[in-house]
Amino acid sequence: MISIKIKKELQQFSINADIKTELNKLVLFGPSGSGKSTLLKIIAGFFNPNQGFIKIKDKVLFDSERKLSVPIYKRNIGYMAQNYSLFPNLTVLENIQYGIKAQKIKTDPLEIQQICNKLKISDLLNQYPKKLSGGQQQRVALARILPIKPEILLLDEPFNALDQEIRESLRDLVTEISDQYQIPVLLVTHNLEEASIFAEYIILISNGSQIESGESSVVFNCPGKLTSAKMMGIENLWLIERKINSETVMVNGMVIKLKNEILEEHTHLGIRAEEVMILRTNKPLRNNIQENILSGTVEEITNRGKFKKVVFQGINQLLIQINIPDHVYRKLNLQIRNSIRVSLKKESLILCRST
Amino acid sequence: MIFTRLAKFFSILIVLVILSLFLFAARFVSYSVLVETLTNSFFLASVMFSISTAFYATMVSLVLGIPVGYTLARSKLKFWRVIEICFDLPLVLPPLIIGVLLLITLNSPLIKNFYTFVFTPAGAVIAQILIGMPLTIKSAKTAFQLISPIYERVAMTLGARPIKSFYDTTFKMAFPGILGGLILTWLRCIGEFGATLMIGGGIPGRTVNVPINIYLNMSSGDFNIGITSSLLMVIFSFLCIVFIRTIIFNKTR
Repeated sequence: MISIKIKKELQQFSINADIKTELNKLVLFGPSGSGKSTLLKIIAGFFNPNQGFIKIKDKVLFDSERKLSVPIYKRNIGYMAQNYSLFPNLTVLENIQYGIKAQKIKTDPLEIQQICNKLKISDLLNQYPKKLSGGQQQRVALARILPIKPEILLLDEPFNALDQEIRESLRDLVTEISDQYQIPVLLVTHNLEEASIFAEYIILISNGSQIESGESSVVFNCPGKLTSAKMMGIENLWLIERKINSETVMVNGMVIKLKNEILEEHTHLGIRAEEVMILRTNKPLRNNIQENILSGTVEEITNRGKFKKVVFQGINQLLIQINIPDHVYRKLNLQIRNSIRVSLKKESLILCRST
Repeated sequence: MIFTRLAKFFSILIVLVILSLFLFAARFVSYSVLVETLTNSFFLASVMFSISTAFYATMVSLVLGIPVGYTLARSKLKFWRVIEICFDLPLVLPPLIIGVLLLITLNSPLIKNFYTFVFTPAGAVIAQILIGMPLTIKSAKTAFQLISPIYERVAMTLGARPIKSFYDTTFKMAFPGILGGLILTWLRCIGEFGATLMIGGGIPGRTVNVPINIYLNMSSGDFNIGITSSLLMVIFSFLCIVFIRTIIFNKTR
């Protein structure tokens, strides 16, 4: 159980956060320089917020009203930074034993051995960190945290400097550790893919302020706010021109039917670029996809590696970004200036509000 | 690269000049002169005086200079930038001037009534602290700056109290640099002339260190002892620098 509500005034902006969840895998997501790391450092106790409280597993770490601030060394928090985290003057084993020696915890040597085996670093124990690869260093950093049995793991973009493959295996390892030892993890990242894979609960931060938070499936699939929709990588976001009835709106003169009921606060309509369907012109329309069809032309095609990005302009001048996998692209044989039809499926449409 | 070639040429030239300085002086030194110097009571007294005053000055620099160096390395306040300029001053000012100013201050009734520093070894130590401590501060500051503060914080998250986390991480990592600075301070104090002469007064056998002794020998015509002492200082300083280089390069893994 994590419950955090804090406010911290900084020179450039102020940090505001309000997190409350029982879930164990949390992600702080936001662009670089948005204050994610600072928030993490506040939780670790490196700085104190101006007001609010921090509570982890029923243990109050900070409470401005009670004038309580538990010092860093008593918080029992596992903190892992992007780099510079291992002590270069100590061997791997000395690094791992540092916490239990500093706290004078009696630990079974077998337990340390088990941790080292699990993290596959048993062969490195007598090496100095300088000799290790980036992935090995971060595994040792994890191994150093586990013996002190932390209340929470705070990971500050720990996989950024690593290759894709190592990054993925380490992320899986963190997931495994979190599940096995029942340790909540708060991961900071600006990588949307990483956030979407890891998060059970996601907190979106921009310019220091928390924009939205919630179960990741909810925030990913139907973000409530325009800013969060942009952060979640939803490329097509249009202003709603007029609400026709509770399930129909007008965008750029086009009538669009929705699955969900539209509320007063909704100002924008969006759809992921992957969810836009291009209809083949030579085939008759099928009933199940006869939803919100728009004719227009292909304006631009760019290669994005695993997929092609197509910019489509409807006859109503509505611009739509479409991502299509390569095999579909080949089958469709798309060319610039081609006339095509697209379908915006009801269940793919997202409603959000501008504030 | 043209710079590398030029650098090689100039370096060899400089080494040759230093070597010839040494060899020209060495012509005056014979075994008997060496024995004469090493048994000369004024020379021995000056060596003891140099070593002891430099030791005390270095100890004071250690206690005061390391915390100041740490603060200069970590603090972002403008106040410390101003203070830093004050610490740079003794490095560029002629020591004689510091000696003159210190002499006037120590001679003022306020201090004189409390303790007589002028013409005493204690006065010489104070002079050397002013001259030598900036080297400790500068080395400590540079050494601490190279160590990211994250280590200390991580040590604290693992349960180490602030002082332990500082000692285990930042201090231990910066130690070779700090030690190098302390040895430089000590050498600077051993070779200190101007300020030590001003405050200590150069009383033979009491407040004369090696450089002052060399000066007194040369001015009274005892060239052999003067030259031999000079060469011994060169050899000693050279060995100390070799020592600093090896510990710094070996300790920083």
